[in-house]
Amino acid sequence: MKNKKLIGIALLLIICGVSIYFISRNTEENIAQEKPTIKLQKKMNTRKTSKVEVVQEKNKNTHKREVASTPASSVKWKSALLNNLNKSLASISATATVKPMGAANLRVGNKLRPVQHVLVSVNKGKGNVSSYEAFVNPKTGTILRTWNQTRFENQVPITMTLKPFRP
Amino acid sequence: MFYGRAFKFTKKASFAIFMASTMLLSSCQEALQASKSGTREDAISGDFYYTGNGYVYESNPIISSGYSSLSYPNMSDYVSATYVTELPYLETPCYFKFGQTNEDCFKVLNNTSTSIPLQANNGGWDYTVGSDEFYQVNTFYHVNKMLKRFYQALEGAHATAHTYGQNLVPPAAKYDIENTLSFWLAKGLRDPNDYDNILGVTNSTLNVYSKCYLDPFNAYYSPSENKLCLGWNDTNSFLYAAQDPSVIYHELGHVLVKVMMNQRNISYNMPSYHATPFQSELGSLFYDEAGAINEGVADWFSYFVNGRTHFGEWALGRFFNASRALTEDDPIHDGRVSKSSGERLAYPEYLHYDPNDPDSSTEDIHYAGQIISHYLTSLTEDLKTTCSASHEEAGDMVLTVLNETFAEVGDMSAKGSDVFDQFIRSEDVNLGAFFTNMNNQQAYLWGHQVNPTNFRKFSQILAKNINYNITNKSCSQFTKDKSEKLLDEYGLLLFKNYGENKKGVMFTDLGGGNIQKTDTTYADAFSDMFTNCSTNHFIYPVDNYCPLGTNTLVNESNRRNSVLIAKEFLEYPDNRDGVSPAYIVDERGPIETLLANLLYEGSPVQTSEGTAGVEYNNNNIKISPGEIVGININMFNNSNSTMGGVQILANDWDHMKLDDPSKTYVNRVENRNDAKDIANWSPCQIDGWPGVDENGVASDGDTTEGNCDYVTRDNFVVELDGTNNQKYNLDASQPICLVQNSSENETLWVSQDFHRRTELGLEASQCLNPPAYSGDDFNPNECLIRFLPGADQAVLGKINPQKSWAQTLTDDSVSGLTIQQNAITLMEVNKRIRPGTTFNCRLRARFTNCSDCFEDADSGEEYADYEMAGAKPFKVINFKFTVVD
Repeated sequence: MKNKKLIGIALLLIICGVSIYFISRNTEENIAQEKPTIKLQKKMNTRKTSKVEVVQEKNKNTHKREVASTPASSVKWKSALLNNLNKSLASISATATVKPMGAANLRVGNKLRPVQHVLVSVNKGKGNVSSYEAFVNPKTGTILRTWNQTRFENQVPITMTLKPFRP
Repeated sequence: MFYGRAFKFTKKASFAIFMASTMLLSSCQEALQASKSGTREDAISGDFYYTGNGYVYESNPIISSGYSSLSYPNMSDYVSATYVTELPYLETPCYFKFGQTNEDCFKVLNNTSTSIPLQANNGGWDYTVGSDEFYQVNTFYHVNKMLKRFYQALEGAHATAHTYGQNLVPPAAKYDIENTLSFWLAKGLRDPNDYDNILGVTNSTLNVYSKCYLDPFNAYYSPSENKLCLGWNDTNSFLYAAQDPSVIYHELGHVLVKVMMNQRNISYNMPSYHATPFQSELGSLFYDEAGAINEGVADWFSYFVNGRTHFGEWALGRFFNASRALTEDDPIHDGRVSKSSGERLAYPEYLHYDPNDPDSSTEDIHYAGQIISHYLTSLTEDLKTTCSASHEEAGDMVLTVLNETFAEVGDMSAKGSDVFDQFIRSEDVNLGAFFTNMNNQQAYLWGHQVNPTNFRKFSQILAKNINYNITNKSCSQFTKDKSEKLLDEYGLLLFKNYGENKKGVMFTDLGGGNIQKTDTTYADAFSDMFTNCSTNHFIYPVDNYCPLGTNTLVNESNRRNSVLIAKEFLEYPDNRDGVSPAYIVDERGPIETLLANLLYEGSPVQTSEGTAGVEYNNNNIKISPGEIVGININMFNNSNSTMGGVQILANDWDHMKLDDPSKTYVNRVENRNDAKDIANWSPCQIDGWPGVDENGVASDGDTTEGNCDYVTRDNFVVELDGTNNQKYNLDASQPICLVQNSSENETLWVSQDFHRRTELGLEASQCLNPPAYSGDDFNPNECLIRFLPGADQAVLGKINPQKSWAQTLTDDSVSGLTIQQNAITLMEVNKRIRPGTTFNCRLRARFTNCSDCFEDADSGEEYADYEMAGAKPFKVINFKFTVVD
């Protein structure tokens, strides 16, 4: 009698244990956090170590210079830039965001001109986001130069109808 | 109780077992259920554990199935178990020679809201076919495959350029690329407090999205955010761009073009780095020849990887009728072109050719790019035959010359080769000889607008590299004549010499802030810098370069299809019957939309709010005060051959002379208040206009600085004096529009600054681009009429013989013209101009297959970059108009 009870309890525990195992395995979060096997873990460690070593090696060779003072600029340049951008973009229902990437001194002739380096992203909706880097005049908030524009594979051209003009 | 004697269960125990069993069965059921949208897919079997394998399709569904009208792919039919990666996540560094990227080279993510790449399941990638995870695995597989192939070829390219044989041309590819890390997307790590202080270099990780939501269906590469988006949307939810590996290879091809073009923009001299402030790209406008070349090369990259001469059958062809061939034999051409002599897909005739709609005529970089893709594919095939090379070996040779070509044209340091890089010799980056893209300050402007990569520049430099890196090194059987004949078959023999002894400018520090600028050549600069031109003498970074000193000429008997036309045949048809000299739009809505879209695309146009704006646009098809006007100059081809790549520039150039070289201060309030020597400019006489009696300054043969016969060597405009006031450079480029000042006795053509002060009494704040917007860049010579930077150039794809550009595009251009943005320049008009004021704007035009736009007609010598700041390489157009009310 006692044995039967023990067997029953053991069976119940086994069934519960197996159930709990399968349920936890199916949990969404756990799939991404599965522990790698020992073999894979060793490989991961090797790769991480070599990555760190390479970076350290590179950084060892960098030349440390005296840090220069931050060029003076108006803190309002970002809001001026954003206002101008979004005002212009309203006609095509797009919105812009600006991410500052640092102050710079651009060489112009023999002189250095302070500029702000930014990343501009313009969202036209439905996944159509165009981004580019820009230098901005920190005194006026105007864009001086852009580069690294997004390259859309099939771009619909802007077409306009023009009329003949004889000066 | 039930069961037999062995097992007796109470009701409670039975109930407990029943409940536990139910739990067990339901958890198993969950494991076997197909994944719901947005939930993580589980691996389906243990067969792939610890193998690094996954289910992979090698080709797109149409190629795999052999069924061109396939509507719905059953991807299970096209996959096989293939090795993907042993790494634990779908991310990896890239390896080049003995080095690797210091960050992951790329990672594959599902969509733009995902940040963690997919993890292997016990070392395998066996996700359900058709699931999001399946496409991520396949995207990783194909990107990795292509990058491995690219780096295999790049190793050979690097060795060929720098190590094999003797270098008779300075190698452009970065020598110490393992130090600069610029074999992938490299950037300088800038000191946050000092932008020019580069603390080190790092590689960026390219995020590749295999299910990137995009409506309409599309794909894109974002270099500023290091994103490659392979499109998908819920309109045709079965369709993924990632299902077509040739599309993946094409998109990645754009990334590799970027890598090759920017390899020279980081320099290393232990322990210091230098990085140029900008990166270069191939293609600026909606349509330009640089963009077309980029598309053609990207198409070729698909062939480079998979050996197939058609691209995009599934993702582009099946539903959008937009797949492309890479060879004339492809059925898509339907016999319109062939590999016979004189029947190839040649420049410039086939610039507008859409094989899917051959009766149309559309300016599109993908169509124009076919000339390049077909040429490169033919070149590869020819190398296989001539050099008994495998597909891989031939591809390596082509990649070598592409790498050399892109390294040169994309060079923002403006040196062209490490041989001339002062920084490597521990000198100032702003000194020494500049040979490419003008100089390191003007490089972006020159490389993308003033002297951009067009079909001529690309094919000339490529031909040079073929001659010295294939004919001279890898395969002598592919002779110079063979190369020229093949280029000519594609209409690409657009040059007369190979430009080995390039012209440039040497910057020398004389002390006291004086920088001397003198003309130089490769041979001259080399002899200044090096005393021993010998193969036995090691000269860092290359030990075997000795300049030729002369330019090799093209064998003119090889020129049968490539037609060069003198620029005199390109006309501004201001007096031609039946041809409108220009088209304009001054309707508010379209201009507003264009401005907004230019901003979206990354060519922002800064307008002068309050002084000019679309609110003044009145749609009267005239130029009125306050308006922002779109202008198309309708050039006419008066020759008997097609002109390709007509470029019209409205940017500032060196066309005026200071009345008094001692008076150079920019005319603005603070300078006048300080009683500085205010500059006044008068127009140089060009093509006889304006006459001397109209204030034109005639040529007097004086080629010293500050004179009309001297062209600026640096394109610097404004300097600051000791008190930070602006002074013009003696040969500063000036805005292009002059004003007619009429009185009882005479008519003079004067600068806008002169007119605004003497006739209108305008202050700087009332000018276009006033100091409030322009700051130190304020120039009163654009006070009244200003072509807007960002929209100050136009490119016309081609002009047929004896036709205008408009007549080339359409038979009905008399009443109006609907055209694309690349053909339009934007001009703003100061609201304070008196109606009746007449202006003359000196635009400049040239075209790609021009015989005397890139080389001097008399001497045959290639123009130096600085000449592009002057008149010689161009046809100067006098766009004259009167502002009316």
